[in-house]
Amino acid sequence: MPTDPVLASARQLVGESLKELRASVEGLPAEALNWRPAGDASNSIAVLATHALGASRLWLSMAMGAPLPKRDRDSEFRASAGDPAAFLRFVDELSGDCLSLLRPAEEVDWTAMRNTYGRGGDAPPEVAAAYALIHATEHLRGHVDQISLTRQLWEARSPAP
Amino acid sequence: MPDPLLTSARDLLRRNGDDMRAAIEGLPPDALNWRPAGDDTSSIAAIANHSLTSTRQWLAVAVDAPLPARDRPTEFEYTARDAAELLALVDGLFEDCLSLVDKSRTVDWSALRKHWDATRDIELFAAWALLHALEHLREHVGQISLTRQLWEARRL
Repeated sequence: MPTDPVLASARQLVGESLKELRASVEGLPAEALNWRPAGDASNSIAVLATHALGASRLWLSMAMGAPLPKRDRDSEFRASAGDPAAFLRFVDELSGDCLSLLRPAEEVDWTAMRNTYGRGGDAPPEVAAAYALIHATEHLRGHVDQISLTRQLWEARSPAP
Repeated sequence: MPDPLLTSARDLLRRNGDDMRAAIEGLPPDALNWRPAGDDTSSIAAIANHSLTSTRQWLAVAVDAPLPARDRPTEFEYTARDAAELLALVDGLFEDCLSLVDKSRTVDWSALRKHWDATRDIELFAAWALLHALEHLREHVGQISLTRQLWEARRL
């Protein structure tokens, strides 16, 4: 595996975010996973996790020049978790995909331009590989913190017996 | 050719700036200084001040620029008189951040840098400092957006 300081740094930071995401999901009942802290204007943990992981996998694929995975961005915001154990398996599967992408067999050219094919929400049509990597890292971190805060709000609202 | 990490960091800083301003604009002082879950949480004003001061610090580490003065604990004590005052603070700090990732710079991303806090004996890649600067900022922009949603839901 190439020893690129940019990749090594991204692997460490994305890995930390994914660990924290899992810790914020683990142990919650379906009701908590689907709870919206500020009503319809806000998103549940299930929505935030589904969206964050779907986006991370897509943006990391773009960064690495890998084939883009299937993604229906709008449906991520309608996600719900019926079975907490199945939802945790889903989190683990997509997290594994993200980490695998950060272990490429060949060096990455960070100046290479990548087509977003309109798949990245309001992203520009073409971005540098470096942009895709930084965006994947920061976008994931932003939503992981929202998930963590939403869990804190849930626990403050519904203290354990 | 400009460094793609610098140009990408600039683009993403601008996007974060737009999102942070949108989450601040139009809020009254009570909302800007409100702590959503009591003393364990931070207000929008405090998070904005802390996150941008931290971003500036980490970007200075990344590009090996002189470190600005920083007193981290007081960043969380900041209160805003009104949205205009907070937006002026935010705009000034964003300008400082953008100047640090000016595309004319040359940066060795594999260079090892010391942590900005001299009491922490850690060495990090310049690339790590850049990525962390951006992810830490996004983390707090997300918090600010959620805090605004909670404030608006609280008034219903």
